Amino acid sequence: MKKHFIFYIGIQTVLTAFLLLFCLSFLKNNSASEMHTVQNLAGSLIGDFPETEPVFMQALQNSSQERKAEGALILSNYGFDESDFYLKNSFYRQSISACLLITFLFFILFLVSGLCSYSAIKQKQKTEKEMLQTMLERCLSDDYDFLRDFQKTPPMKQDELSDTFLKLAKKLSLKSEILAQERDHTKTLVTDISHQLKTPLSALKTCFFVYLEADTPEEKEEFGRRCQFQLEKLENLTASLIHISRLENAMILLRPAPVSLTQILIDAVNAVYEKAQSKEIILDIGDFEDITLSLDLKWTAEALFNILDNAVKYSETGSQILIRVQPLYSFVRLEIEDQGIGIPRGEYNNIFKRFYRVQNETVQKAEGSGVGLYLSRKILEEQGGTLSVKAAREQGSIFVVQLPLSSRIP
Amino acid sequence: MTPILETKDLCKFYGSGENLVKAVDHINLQIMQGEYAAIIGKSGSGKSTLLHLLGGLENPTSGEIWIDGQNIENFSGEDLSALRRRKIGFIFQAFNLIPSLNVWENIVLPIGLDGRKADENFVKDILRTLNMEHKAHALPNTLSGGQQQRCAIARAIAAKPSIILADEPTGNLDTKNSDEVISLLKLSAKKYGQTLVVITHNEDIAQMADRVITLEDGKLV
Repeated sequence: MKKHFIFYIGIQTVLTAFLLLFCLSFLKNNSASEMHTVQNLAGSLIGDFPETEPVFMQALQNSSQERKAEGALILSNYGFDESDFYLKNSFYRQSISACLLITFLFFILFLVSGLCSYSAIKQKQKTEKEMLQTMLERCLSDDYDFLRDFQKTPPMKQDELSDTFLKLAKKLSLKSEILAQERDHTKTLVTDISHQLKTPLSALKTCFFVYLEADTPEEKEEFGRRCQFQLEKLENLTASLIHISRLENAMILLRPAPVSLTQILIDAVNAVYEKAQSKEIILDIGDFEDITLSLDLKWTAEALFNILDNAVKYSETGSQILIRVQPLYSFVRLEIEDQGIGIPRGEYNNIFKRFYRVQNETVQKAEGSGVGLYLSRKILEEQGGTLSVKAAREQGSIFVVQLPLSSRIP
Repeated sequence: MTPILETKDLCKFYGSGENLVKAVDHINLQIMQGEYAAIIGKSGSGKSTLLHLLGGLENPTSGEIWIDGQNIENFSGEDLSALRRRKIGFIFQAFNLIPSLNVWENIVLPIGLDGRKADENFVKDILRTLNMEHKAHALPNTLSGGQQQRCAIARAIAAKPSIILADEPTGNLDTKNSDEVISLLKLSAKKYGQTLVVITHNEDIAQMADRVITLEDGKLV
């Protein structure tokens, strides 16, 4: 397109220059031819009648041309009329045909360039339309690979239409990615859950078979108890799984309402109190100024309960769990410190993963499904908070909960 | 998902011969949109060099860097700074605030440099999120370290970049402040849909990341 334009401008320039040269040479030839006529007149008149020289020169130099009409009258008698004089002169005839030729050339040039640019624009529109069509069709068949190439080397001029189309295609591709991600997510969730259910279920099955075929009443009682244990385990597990699947699918609607931090802590501690008592573990909450936050009481307490429950589970009998509360600039910081078995440094990132359990004997023996901390972090983050872990100074862990003060109710 | 940041066989070497230092050694990395990635490693493992390369602050010895689907190899200096201003927010350990400007002016400065007008409501919202509303007219030297870093975070977010690159953002802060700052960074990035890449040698900080990338002698582990 650019090439054509340059070519066209070039031809235009050459022709214009040619036209200018022609005009100049025409003027020059014209004045020369007039001069020749005057020279001829002077030669024949003054040569034959020298006394006419002053009169002739005066007439030539007199610019007012007072006696023009007289001369015209004489000349017209011989057929020299002003109206068709130039037609009889061969020089003027040539000039006229040159004029016609140039005009014709210009006309052809304009015509050709007009047609060319028209068809070029038409062609471009057609290719762009076809390109847009192909891209639309690829969008329809969920194939967005062209977007990458498009960004690298835009194949067409970016106007409003193609811009809007690109935005639409990007949005669509993002949506289909999210959809695929959700599908994968659900798939892993289903796999994870079925995997989790499989172990206690097969244990239950074995216990039950032994129970059915037991010979002695002692054996029957023993395996009946084991069945009961496995059933309870299954019940706990399904309860956690229901929680988790609800949260994963955003079915748990966290309903923030003004609630005092003390209330949340009391609810969480109460839930774990019995278990702590049975292990003679002391739960100590440090002094703090109560604040009112906008949080979901039930779920936030559940999040804290999971942390406390772990602390109790993995602590020795007679140890202590400390809860400290400290308001900072943007968050209120809760530290839950235990004197338990602690967590290996390399596992800090893993313990918050779904169904993850630390590969160590104490943990593997203890009851649990690897859901608690995952759920806690999810609940807290959903409300703009965070959950992380650090090693305690001597032994055990410190879980750090941060709740946003932006949800504070003054 | 499409990666928003991608490196292909990225290398950055300093020196030559016996003094050759391979700061970044053939790294292939993909960071997805909306992800929070932590790059950890000891000092001298090439973390900062990698982050500078990702942000187009340094030129690689070889390899490619793709930012939001564009290979920055062929970008002119001017194009690259425009890309940095619009797509990337930087947060440094040393805060890098301008002492003679107040908090608000520091935050909107990069937007002004880009010839854009700051979205006042957006900046106010960020300041509210960071609990810095009442400090908008304070000068940096009257603020605590945590508040200064909060201001730097606000500055990085205010230009609405797609990517925030933070180099030891909590290096100068105590535990509580650094926990808070990193949480704010994470929450703001989530709130405004930004991708976050944080460099740290502190594993406690890395645990909140979606992904932890460990670097050792310029290589991914």
